[in-house]
Amino acid sequence: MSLLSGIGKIRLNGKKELTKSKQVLSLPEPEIVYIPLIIGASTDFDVHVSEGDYVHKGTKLATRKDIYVPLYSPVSGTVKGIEKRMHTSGKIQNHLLIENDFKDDEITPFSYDNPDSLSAEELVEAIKEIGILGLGGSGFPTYVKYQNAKNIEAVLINAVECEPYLTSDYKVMEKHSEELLDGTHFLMKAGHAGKGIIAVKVTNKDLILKLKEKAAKFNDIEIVGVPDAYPMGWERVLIREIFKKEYERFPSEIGIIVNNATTAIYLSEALRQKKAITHRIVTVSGEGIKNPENVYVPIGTSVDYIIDKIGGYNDKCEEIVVLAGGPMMGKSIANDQFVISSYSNSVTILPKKDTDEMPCLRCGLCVEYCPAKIQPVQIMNGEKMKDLDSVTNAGADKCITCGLCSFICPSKIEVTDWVGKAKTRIANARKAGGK
Amino acid sequence: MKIIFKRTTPNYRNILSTQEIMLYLTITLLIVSAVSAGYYFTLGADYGIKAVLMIAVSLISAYLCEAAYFYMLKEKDILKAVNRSFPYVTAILFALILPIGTPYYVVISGSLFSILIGKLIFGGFGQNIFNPALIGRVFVMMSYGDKLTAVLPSKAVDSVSGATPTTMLSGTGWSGNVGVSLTNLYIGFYKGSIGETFALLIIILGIFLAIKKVLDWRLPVFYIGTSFIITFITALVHGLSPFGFALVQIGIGGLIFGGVFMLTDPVTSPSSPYGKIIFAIGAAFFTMLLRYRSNMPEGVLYSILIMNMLTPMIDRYTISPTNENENRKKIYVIGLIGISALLITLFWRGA
Repeated sequence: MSLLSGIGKIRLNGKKELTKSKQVLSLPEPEIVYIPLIIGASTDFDVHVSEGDYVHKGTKLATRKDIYVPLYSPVSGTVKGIEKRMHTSGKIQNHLLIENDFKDDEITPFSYDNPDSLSAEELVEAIKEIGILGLGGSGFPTYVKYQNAKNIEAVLINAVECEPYLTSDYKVMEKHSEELLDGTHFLMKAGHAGKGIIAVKVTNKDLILKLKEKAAKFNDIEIVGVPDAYPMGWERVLIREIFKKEYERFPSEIGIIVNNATTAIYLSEALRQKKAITHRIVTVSGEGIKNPENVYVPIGTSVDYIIDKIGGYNDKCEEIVVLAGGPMMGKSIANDQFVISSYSNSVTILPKKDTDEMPCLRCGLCVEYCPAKIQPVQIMNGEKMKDLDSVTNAGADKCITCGLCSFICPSKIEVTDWVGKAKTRIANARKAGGK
Repeated sequence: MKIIFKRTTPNYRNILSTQEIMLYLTITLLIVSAVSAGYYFTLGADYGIKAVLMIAVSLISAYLCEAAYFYMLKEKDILKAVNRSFPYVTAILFALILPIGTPYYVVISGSLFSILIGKLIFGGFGQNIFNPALIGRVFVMMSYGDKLTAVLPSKAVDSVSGATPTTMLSGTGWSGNVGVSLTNLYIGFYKGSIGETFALLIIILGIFLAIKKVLDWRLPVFYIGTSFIITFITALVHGLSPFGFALVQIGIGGLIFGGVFMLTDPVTSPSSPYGKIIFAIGAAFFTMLLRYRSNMPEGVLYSILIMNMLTPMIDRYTISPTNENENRKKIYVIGLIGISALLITLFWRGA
């Protein structure tokens, strides 16, 4: 705890036990997969196939234009056109429909015959061509972090998974610890970094032991246990914990690149087995369904299909919320028609609970716990008065909407949303000002 | 089964609620009340009954006041509105800072004043600028000052002295005998305001409340700590025994009660850690300044109200991210404590 800047994190009930010790379920593949033509905020894609085309598993379907990201087909079959459909962003978006022929007819979309002999520049190019994104949920193209990176000392692999209910990263790591270290080595090479650090929650003792055993073979990868706290997995909090350092905008300023553990594992698999990202493990959990599970499904599988296959919704709940992501940062989606993207780590289904909002006490717990070290209560009051100066001075744009202020608020006020509105106000003012 | 779209995030909430914060606070206040009543019963049944009834009368007045207020506002569910306004906290706090001799009509009018003028006219719970209980206390002191004695009115010639340590000390230029042993000053078996004498108990309850996140530890720690440093240095410079003097000075006048229960009122104190620290140091400075240089020795009471007034200013001054310029802020904090100690040393009238 810091005297002036508070605690900045909190231990919360992770509810991980719902899925952590269960085997990952490989579901039968769906008849149709829907590939979202959106990554991040970008919906500008070049589509390389047209209706009626036959595609292999691994055929390049489309590429994102502004920042290059290729999308590969997760199944073999026929292109059925483009359909508007609900997306994890909460908006209706274009999706490319592919009818599965269940033949698993695979092609190799890219080939790196000896991945170990690739130079750093070639590796960055490979990461780009494979289409690796921040698979922990961000969906940020990995190669961008490495393209202009200078003086990188360490690659920090984020295996914290601090969001409640989520165990998909854990499940992937449990099975692929070799690949995790291998992928970390590739990333270190791509960034000219001499050191790799894998951060795991201290509560995952077995995993730490296993990784330490594997890492003992190398002397450049360190396994570090970090406290079981939220939002430990936010790179700023993680770097604060491990390196005791702060940075302005990006960790690369202080010589660190952060990547998610699943990202590293998929990179290793893609390079060694020449496979595109076609499937992934997704945590489908929460009290709103009968059987919380980790499922292994093709990219583009619809959520209603998954929930149906694992036993359906909990009949005892009259009203539920379906969240793309976990309960802290996940977004409520109006229906269950949205699909799993390569970077969707979870779907959380919870009974809808109404909160009884009380007047603000100004107790300052939101300030004490804010990991971004801003003052949510002051930003909220500034936003209520539509006072641009005050929300700007208070640093509202530093908010990452981790949800901790609303979580901690004893008066159950939607503080996070107020700060979100202030953030939008600042962004709009910047746009209007042409800055 | 129906899928609901929820516009807000997160969908996960902590268990601790404002209702629970108020409950914890009330439990600790009731413990203080019970110990206080117990002590007064040892002085005689009439003293004990008076202590209990003072708290009860204050509570009833506060509830009736709130009910009448919400009735006039044409609130549909008056009981719910009153419960969401937490009159009991203010009412118990107010009763605990009155001396045992306070007549019932003074308790009633003060309790009504606390609730109505201290809280409701500002827009109710969460909106008030000043600590409501302290507003009530100032009101009764202004209006019925001579009635606030530490003796029951029927026992005017009682052998137990009516003077509290604070009034005794202020009469001797602050360097005389406190009339109570140091141990007893902290255990609390002497006459002051009915709840505020049990310093040790209040400190223990304060630690409990801080752990439960009901109050921020920085407020009492910096308030009592700064008070200690100020009085320690004052005594040192003026040739008094510094430890003894400082311990007496923070033991008297409800300073510890004020630091734990009054200064920590979240509604009327700043919301950032740095703001809270400035607020607490300011309160300690004004407590000592008023004690030594004003006609009213009740420094704790007025200092907290003065700082309540400055809260919006402090909040505005400390609006930037809390981790900016941390080292500079720490130097300012040390500087503030140092300047406070220096000024009080200079202003002290001396023995």
